[in-house]
Amino acid sequence: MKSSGRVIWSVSQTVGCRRIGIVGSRHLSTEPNIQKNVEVGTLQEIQMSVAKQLNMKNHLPSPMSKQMETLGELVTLIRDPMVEIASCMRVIDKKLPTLRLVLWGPFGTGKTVTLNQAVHHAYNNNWAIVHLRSAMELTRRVKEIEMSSFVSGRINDPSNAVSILQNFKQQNQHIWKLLGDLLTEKDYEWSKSERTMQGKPITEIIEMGITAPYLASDCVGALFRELRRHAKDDKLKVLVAVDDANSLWGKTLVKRADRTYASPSDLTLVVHFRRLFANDWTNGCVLMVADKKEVSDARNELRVSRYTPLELFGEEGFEYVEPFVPIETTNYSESETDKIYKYYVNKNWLASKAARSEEGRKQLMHLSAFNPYYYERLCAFN
Amino acid sequence: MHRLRLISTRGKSTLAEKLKSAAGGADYGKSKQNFASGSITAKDERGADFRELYVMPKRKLRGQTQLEQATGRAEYKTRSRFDIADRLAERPPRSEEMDPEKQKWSDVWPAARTFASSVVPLPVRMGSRPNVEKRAPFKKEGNLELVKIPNFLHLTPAAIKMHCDAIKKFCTPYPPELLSKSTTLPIQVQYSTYIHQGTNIRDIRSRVVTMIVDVESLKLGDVAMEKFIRLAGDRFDEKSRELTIVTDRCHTRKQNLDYAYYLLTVLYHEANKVEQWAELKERSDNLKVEFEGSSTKTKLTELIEKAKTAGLATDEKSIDEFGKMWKEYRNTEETVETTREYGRQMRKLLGI
Amino acid sequence: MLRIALTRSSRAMSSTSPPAVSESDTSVRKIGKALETYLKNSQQHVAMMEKHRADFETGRRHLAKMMSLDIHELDQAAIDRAIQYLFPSGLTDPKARPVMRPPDEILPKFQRFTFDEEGKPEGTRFFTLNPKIYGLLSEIGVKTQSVMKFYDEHVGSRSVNRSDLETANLSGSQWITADKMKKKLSEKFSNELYGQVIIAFEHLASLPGSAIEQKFLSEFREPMTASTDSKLFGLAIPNVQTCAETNRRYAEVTTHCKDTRAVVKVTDAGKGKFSIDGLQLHDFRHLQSREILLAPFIISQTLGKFDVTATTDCISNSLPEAPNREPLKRTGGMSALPRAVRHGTALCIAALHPESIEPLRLSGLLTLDPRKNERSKVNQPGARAKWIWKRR
Repeated sequence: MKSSGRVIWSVSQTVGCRRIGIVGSRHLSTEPNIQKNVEVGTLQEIQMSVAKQLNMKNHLPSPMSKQMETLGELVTLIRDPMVEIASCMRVIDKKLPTLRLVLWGPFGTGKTVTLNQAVHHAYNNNWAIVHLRSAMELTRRVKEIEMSSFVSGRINDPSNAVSILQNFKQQNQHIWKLLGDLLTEKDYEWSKSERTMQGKPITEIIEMGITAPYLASDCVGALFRELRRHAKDDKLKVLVAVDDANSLWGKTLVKRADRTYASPSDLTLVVHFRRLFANDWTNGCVLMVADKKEVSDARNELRVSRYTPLELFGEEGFEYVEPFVPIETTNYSESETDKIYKYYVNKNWLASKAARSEEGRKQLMHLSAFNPYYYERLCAFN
Repeated sequence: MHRLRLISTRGKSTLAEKLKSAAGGADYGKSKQNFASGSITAKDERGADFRELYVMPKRKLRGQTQLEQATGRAEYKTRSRFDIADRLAERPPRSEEMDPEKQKWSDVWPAARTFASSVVPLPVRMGSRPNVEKRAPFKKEGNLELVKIPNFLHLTPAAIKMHCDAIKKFCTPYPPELLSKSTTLPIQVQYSTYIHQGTNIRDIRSRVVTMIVDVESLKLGDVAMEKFIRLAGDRFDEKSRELTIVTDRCHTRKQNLDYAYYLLTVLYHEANKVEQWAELKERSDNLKVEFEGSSTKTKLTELIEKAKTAGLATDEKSIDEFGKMWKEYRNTEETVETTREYGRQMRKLLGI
Repeated sequence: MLRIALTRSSRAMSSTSPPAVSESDTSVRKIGKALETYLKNSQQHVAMMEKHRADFETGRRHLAKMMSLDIHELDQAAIDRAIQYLFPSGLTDPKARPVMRPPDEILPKFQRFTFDEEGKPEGTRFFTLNPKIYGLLSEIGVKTQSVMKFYDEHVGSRSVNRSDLETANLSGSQWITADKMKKKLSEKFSNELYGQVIIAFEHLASLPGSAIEQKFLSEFREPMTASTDSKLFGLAIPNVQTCAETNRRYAEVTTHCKDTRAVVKVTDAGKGKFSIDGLQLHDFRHLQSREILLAPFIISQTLGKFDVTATTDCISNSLPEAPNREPLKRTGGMSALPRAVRHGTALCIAALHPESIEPLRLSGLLTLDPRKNERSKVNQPGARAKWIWKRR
């Protein structure tokens, strides 16, 4: 089906699920429904329609998202971290408390891209997806605040809460019917007038939050609670994917009435997400990214920050998130760079003659220091 | 005047005598001398001096000398050089009269002295030149460079040995404890003296005193040790278990040294005191994070339990190993390697 | 009369001794003044050397006694050590320090002519006043003739190698300079004569068949980019060492750029890893920095073949400051560190990979950039910038 020019890299289609019998020596569970072609070193294409539904345009890092729009397709390389995440996701079980995975690594090595690949993988396997673009939005890009009526002292963030609910709705369209079958556990009294009765489908909570921003933060909390409950009852598996998760224990730019900065634990959305991270519920996988954006100074061009999880989460965050499995992302190896190079050459993305020569290939590889981000940027200008 | 004086000193040397006689004949100056002292006495029977009859002057007359000159038989007196006295006064260098086997160098050069080329018997040369092959360095005679540099001719190994032997009877033997490396003394005090090229001998840095104390020798208990470490702060080095006190707040070195001892004393005594409020210490006040009693451990054990029921191949026995690794991970500087190790152990523990 | 004193006093100075050369005076034949002077000088030199040798021997015995060493174990190295001990001189120029050497080594050599018993010089070229260079010229002439003869005889035949019938290969080298030739022949000559010699050499080298005289020609050639072996001038390329444990070659060098001093070590058989102050190449966020660091590898086409380890520090921080004052923190800017490391890397690559010396030198990477930050002056905002100038 594919032309001979594309023989060099294999493309795995994402239509339907195929059984693969990957039985690692370490896994005991061979659940048949979590199967996917996750082979290391392959270039995986995600259909544009799926990408649209999963809102990849917003969630991918900006260079990747621009490349997606320019080239008209989303092709990423499956690397070791993704394979590890896939194998961890395979292990998830209703008896097992939520498995927490932390993606860490130096700048530009594919933490966010791997996160999105994992979201796509969850989509393929009909998981529920809670995907947050960046926890820094909750702590640092708060446009307007409201004091919470539910718990005094807490600060609500209506716009962010609405966007979370909208995002959830959009990303979980593939299991919307399933979600509609799940029922609320108790009465939710949002305010004096609005309430959701027990036994209603949880999609109503979402609708409620989207229509009424001032209730949205509490709706988010309720939604998460219901998801946790239903996951424990083995109705569905949940993937919680949070980018820049270490910001949940970091610095806030939200000012209280007395002009002091609020701590993150005063923000309702932060509290809700932290509850999601706790491993008191089962049948879920929490995928966090520890990003240095939180600690590094944007104005200092030369300073090199640390990127290890303890440093980024802080003591408090680290102790909350423990025990977790750290998954490292690294720079490209030569073969991986080769694959990307050939893909760019095929797509005529590398325009100049010098870039297509052997010398050019080597120079591109080394000049980018084998870093995926720098490599992509370098190829964009050659 | 100078010449006369030189002659008079050399006059006592027999060599000079010989030369003088060779120079001016045997009776050079004797006739005058004798006449001046009046040794020739010829008196007649009445006691009056002999008056010699003057016939002819006692010299060769003009005609005769002219004849002799004309015929070529004149005797010409050879005159000696005008600087003969200086040349006689000049002695050969002393180094030529030295016999290496028989003499002791420390007799020749007993104390520090500027270089004297006539005394030092070594054919040493000194002096740079643009082309090495064209000219040798200047010889030692009249060489100012050799005079300018310091010399240790008074401190040859033999001379040093002589000095040491002479002083030995006033010395006590070297303490054997310092010779054997096994015993290390607990306190080490360091200070510096600074010299300057110039008239000012002061340097502000010479009042700084550094005292390094081996804390193990203080024999503190566990609680006291922890208090000691907290009080000492940055001054305590964990790896080498050393306390380094640097004092420079007083004006003189002695005062700073006393202050350092005072600080050490205060630290020791305060560390041994137990206050009442020390009982309020909690787990979060510890200097280091311990694995035992941490929330991580409880959560981990729970997780392992549940994972086992879920069917993962967990490995509980390695939890102690994990605890050790975790403590190191939390309490030391986090690096990429330690994080990777943490990941490996976690995966092994949970059986992923 | 005063002969004894005279001989004594003239011992130290090598003054002109009275013309007491016996043989030439008593011989009936008249010899020229030049020869007479030469013979006199030669004898004086011999006498002087004898005296100096005797002095040196006595000096050795004295030194042995002084330093309590056995005379037999007092070799030249021991003498040097002893002189360094006894006369410690802080002079930096090693030629200026006190030295005690046997006169054969230290005194200038005496030019010897060989004469037969009649006083005639052994070679006829003596009277040309430049015997050695004329000898060289005639040697070149003879060789030219023989090369032409060789070629004529063997041009078509198969009995000799093909390579012997070609012109001599003189690529990558140039004729030695006049100064060097003077040193080689130990004779002085004029520049015109030197020109003539070069013309003769060029003619010989251009002949077909001159390959047989390759060795003779290459004695008078020196390589083009002459490594003068002088560490003061020219490229400061370090020496290659081998690491004991891993058996990999490496070169280490210290350079600076602006205010940053860098100690760079480049190891052979590597994968292109960088470790600059503990940072890897991808920690250098700017493309410019990475380009600067990789430039020597791109030019010498050794990408990924070497590993680089470097440590840097600030020069002005290591200068002695007053004890209570904080040192000024000047690092030189964003590109100073990569440039310093680049210079070090280029020098080390030149040491480990000599084929790349020429491209690196042409690209200017082997040259140290001597520019430093210019101080800012009073009444001006910077070093050169001035306040806005108003005419009135």
